[in-house]
Amino acid sequence: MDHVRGSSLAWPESLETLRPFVMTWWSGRTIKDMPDDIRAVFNDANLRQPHINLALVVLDSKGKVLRSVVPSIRPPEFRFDPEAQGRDFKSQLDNLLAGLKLPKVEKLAKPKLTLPDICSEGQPNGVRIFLTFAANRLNHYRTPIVETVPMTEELRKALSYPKNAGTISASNVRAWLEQVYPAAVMDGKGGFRKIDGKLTFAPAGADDAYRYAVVEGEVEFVLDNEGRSTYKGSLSVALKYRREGNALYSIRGVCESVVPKGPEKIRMTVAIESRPE
Amino acid sequence: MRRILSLAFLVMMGMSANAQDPQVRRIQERFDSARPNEKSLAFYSLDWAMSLADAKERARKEDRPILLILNTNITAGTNFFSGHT
Repeated sequence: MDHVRGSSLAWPESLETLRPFVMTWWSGRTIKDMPDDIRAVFNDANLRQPHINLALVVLDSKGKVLRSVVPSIRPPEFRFDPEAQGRDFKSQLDNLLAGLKLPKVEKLAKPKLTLPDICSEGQPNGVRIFLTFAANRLNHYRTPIVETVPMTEELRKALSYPKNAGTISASNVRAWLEQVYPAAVMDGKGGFRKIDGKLTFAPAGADDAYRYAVVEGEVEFVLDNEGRSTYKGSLSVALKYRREGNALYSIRGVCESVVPKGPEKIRMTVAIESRPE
Repeated sequence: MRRILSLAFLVMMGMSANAQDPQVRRIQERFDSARPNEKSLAFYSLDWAMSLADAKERARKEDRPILLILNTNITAGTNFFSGHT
C-alpha cells in the first residue's frame, strides 16, 4: 500500500481534495482482525469482501456512512508512472465525492505539517527518524516514512558523555535501528533476525556551552522476512551535551544503506533528530 | 545554498560553528541534506486521527466529514500515517 500512500494519496491535487476530511485508517492482516467499530463501518458500507486491497469510506460528522469505493489501483496499467497513477486516483476520488457538500477549507500558502512526535517530557524525550528512498519500479517510496522512538534509561546511559574514545554496540541503539528498514519488505513475522555492529564513540570538541561526541560505524541488518533481506548501514551520529554533567542533550544523525528488494537495490537515507530539539 | 542551510542549522542547534569538531560539522551537514523538505512531507499536511474513535470525536466537534481508509495485507498491517508496514 505504500505506492498508494506515496503516489496516489500524496498526489498534490488529491491532498487538496482530502483536506476537508479528518483522515483515519484501519489496516490488518484480514477482516477478521477488525475491531467492532471498524467492522460496523465495513458492514454499513456494504464492502462484503474477504480481502480489501484498498477501500475508502466517507462518513459524515456524526459517523454515518455516506459513500464508499474500492478504487482500482493498477500500477502496471500506467507503466508504473506515479504521475499517471496519481491522476487516475484523483479522478476516482472525484467520482466518490461528487455532489457531496464538504466544508470549505482555506488554502494556506504553506500548509502546516503534523509529523509523528513524542509527547512525553524531557530533553531529549526521544528521536524522530525520517527514511527516504530512491525511486523504485513500483513507486513504493515517494513519501518519506517518519517514525518516533521514545528515549529510555538504557539509551541515556549508553549515550552519556564519553570521557575517552571507546566503542559501543549497535545493540545499545537498537531501538533506533529497528526503524531502519523500508516499507513493503516485512513479509515475515516482522522485526529483525540481526542488528549488529561495533560503533566508535568518542568526544568531539566543545564550545562555551556544550560538549560534543560522535558515534560512527557500520551496522549489519538482517530482516526476519522470507527473503532474509540483508544490508549494511553507515551510521554517523553527532551528540551534544551541556558542559555540566554527562547527560545527553540532543542528537543529529544519518544512516545510509542500499537495501535489496526483489531484483532491485534501493538507496535508503535515514535522518535522525532528537525531540523536542 | 547548502552552506547557508548548514549555518542556519548550526544556529538552530545553538552550536558555535567556530568551536566545533569538523567531524560534528560534517555529520550536521549530512543530516541537513538527509532530512526531507516540507514539500516532500506534504502528505503530513493532511489532518490525521490515529483511530476511528478519535476521528469521530473530532468530526463531531469540528462538524467535518471523515475519510476512512481500509486495507488488509496478509503479511502485516500498514501504518498509513508513519508509512511503515
